[in-house]
Amino acid sequence: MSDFVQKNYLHPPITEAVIEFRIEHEFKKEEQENLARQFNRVYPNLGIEETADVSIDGNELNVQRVHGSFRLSSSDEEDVLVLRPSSFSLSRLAPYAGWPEFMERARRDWTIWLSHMPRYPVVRVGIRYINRIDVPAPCYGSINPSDYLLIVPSMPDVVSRPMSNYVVQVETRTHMEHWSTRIVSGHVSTPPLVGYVSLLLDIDNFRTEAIPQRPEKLWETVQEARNLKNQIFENCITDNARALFDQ
Amino acid sequence: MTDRTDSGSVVHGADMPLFDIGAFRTELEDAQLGLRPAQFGTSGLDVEGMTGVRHVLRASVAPSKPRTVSPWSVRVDAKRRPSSLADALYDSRASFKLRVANVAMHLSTEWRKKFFKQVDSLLDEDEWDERDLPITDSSFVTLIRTVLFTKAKRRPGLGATSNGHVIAAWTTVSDDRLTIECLGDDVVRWTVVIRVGTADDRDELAAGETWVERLLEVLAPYGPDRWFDDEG
Repeated sequence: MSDFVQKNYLHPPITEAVIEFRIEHEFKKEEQENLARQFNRVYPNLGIEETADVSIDGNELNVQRVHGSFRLSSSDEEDVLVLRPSSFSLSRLAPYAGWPEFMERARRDWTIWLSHMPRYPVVRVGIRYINRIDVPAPCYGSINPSDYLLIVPSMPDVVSRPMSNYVVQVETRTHMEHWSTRIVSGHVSTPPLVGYVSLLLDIDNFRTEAIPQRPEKLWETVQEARNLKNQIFENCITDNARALFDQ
Repeated sequence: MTDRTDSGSVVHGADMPLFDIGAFRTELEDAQLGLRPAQFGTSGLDVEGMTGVRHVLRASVAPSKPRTVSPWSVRVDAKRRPSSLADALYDSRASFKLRVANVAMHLSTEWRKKFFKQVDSLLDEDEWDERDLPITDSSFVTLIRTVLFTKAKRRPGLGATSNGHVIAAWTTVSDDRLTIECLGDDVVRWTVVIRVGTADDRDELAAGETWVERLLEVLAPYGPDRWFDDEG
């Protein structure tokens, strides 16, 4: 991986940052509910998200309810905690307020989790950053994704026009021991801004082996993943993209 | 989902490929799955939820041209159908804030927070006429796209129609008024009332329907900067 310099952008393109711990146990709904009540003290909004399996076999439609999740959020809906039967998943939506603030909330919430739930091993740690790069494209002109991202499909020279849509997903182990990454790059089909083309850069770093279980060591692991994310991000974007984040 | 392989996201995740939460997620992930929305209809299904509240499941199926792989199954996340006005207004407020979060990097913190206060006030249960429909998500999306496209420095006053559309209004100190009703799918109905500078000060009225991308061109004869430019 090439050298990288940590950058702080004026308008980071992060639409969602996620820290997720998965544990080796599936909690019952009642246990989750009790935990959700504890978190409701720090997150004013509490919702239940039910999940169902829907299957169609010939003319027969089968619907089976399965255990869902509890979704807690701040009053501005920017800080979200999702309690699934086997996971603790913390999100920060845009505007991203920075890593120290995000980590502080993660530590607070994990402490609440540990003080109310029996301890089970953490079996997966994931740090995911979803970025959307909004590129001005007056009159709905096309852009060349490779002007902004370095993870794009390569095309033989058979068409004269730029790609109107693409998705690339790469999953690989990284240079950092125990860590893997899944990177998705693609066009956003419906850009949220009129007169723009938007590109997605979704970086999901995760490990499922040698996970330290003591909280302080666990947070060191999370910090590792964040550093890795920054390296991958900087190596996936061009200076044209960087210029957009500082406008 | 128990077999999820990505780190769970609340607005974007391969575990929820067909169902709309974020503006950009659904179609992209349809593409990832090799699906094209145009080829698939949408069917609604009511299910009694685990907690006794009603849930609505929406699954995309191919009613006329079954996929070649059959049988098939899909896991969906149910959304609660609001059971009261308070719930409906809460959902509307939350939906708006999620939409704004999606473009928050293009808005200043102060602008955004004041905008949230306006919407909280507009959708206040105590002030809301229960015969009116809560503002729809698609109307809010049109509002946000309008505000960003016009680069309005001044926040509009907000109102609502009885059928779930948000209205944005700007008024100058000389009482020139621009009112925009935000329908879904980027469609806007606009009304302009400007005082023509003659001795007898007559009002000129113009109105029309267009879409966001055309709005500034349509308003150009009336000098839209008078409404959008200053931060007053």
